[in-house]
Amino acid sequence: MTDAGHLDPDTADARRVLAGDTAAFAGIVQRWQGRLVTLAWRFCRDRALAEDMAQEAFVRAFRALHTFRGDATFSTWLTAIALNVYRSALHERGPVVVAVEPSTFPAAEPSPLEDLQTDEQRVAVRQMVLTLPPRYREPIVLYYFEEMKMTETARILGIPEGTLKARLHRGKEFLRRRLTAAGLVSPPRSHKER
Amino acid sequence: MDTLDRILVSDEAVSPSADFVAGVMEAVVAVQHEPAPFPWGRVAIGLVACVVWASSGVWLIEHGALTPLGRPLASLTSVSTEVWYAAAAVVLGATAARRRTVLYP
Repeated sequence: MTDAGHLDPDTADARRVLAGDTAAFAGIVQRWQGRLVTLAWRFCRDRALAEDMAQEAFVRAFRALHTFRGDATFSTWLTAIALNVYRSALHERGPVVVAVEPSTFPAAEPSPLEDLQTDEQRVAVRQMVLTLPPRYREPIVLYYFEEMKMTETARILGIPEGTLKARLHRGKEFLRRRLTAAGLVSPPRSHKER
Repeated sequence: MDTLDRILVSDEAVSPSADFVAGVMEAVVAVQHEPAPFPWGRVAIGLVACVVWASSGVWLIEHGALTPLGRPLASLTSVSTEVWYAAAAVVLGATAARRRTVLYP
């Protein structure tokens, strides 16, 4: 939060909502809908479900608006709430099953990761992230898919940066093994890439 | 940045449907006057943690492991040492739960 005269739009809207102007929350939804829906979609790859989860996240944020004190950025605060909502929703739905179209990987012999050419193949690789355990999936989604900074990702997840780096590294190793086990790519040519 | 990094960061974004904001605001107005649901799950976890914590304290005292620490407290009042440990467990548990709730509501 900045000086009273120079509030960022989110803080200003939050104050108006807390003062009783519920309609001011629409400004927050307008600004953050793309981020929250996309984040939800990256966890489920289902557009309708993503919108439902994002709506629930906004409702939860509305209820918890009084807890936003400005010691973290609004973005970090809102994303942490959304992540909790998405985590619960996905936990209730059970493990994610990823179906890869046979035509996406037509070759009898899997190729090395660096030789994947088509967008479909790359999308399939990203979909495999959904099959990772949450402790690896969440850092990868936030840090790589959302392209958040290391500091913000660590803060949202409530873990130290060192732990985050370790989870990102292990998560990618896990992902490589799963891609190889699924026959989507061949084992890496050397350890140099790691 | 390796190949896998490049594949991961090139993920596409999706746009919300046109009526998404209206839908959220309808939901917000609907819950506006509802009281926030009581966090029974967190309360249950906190209670279990407190019971386990206090029980382990009592067990340790009964087996003599914490007697040197507990004796001065017990000598201050006539209250038994177990009660002091149970009270400390409740205070620490409540403090930890409050910190967690403020950070991640």
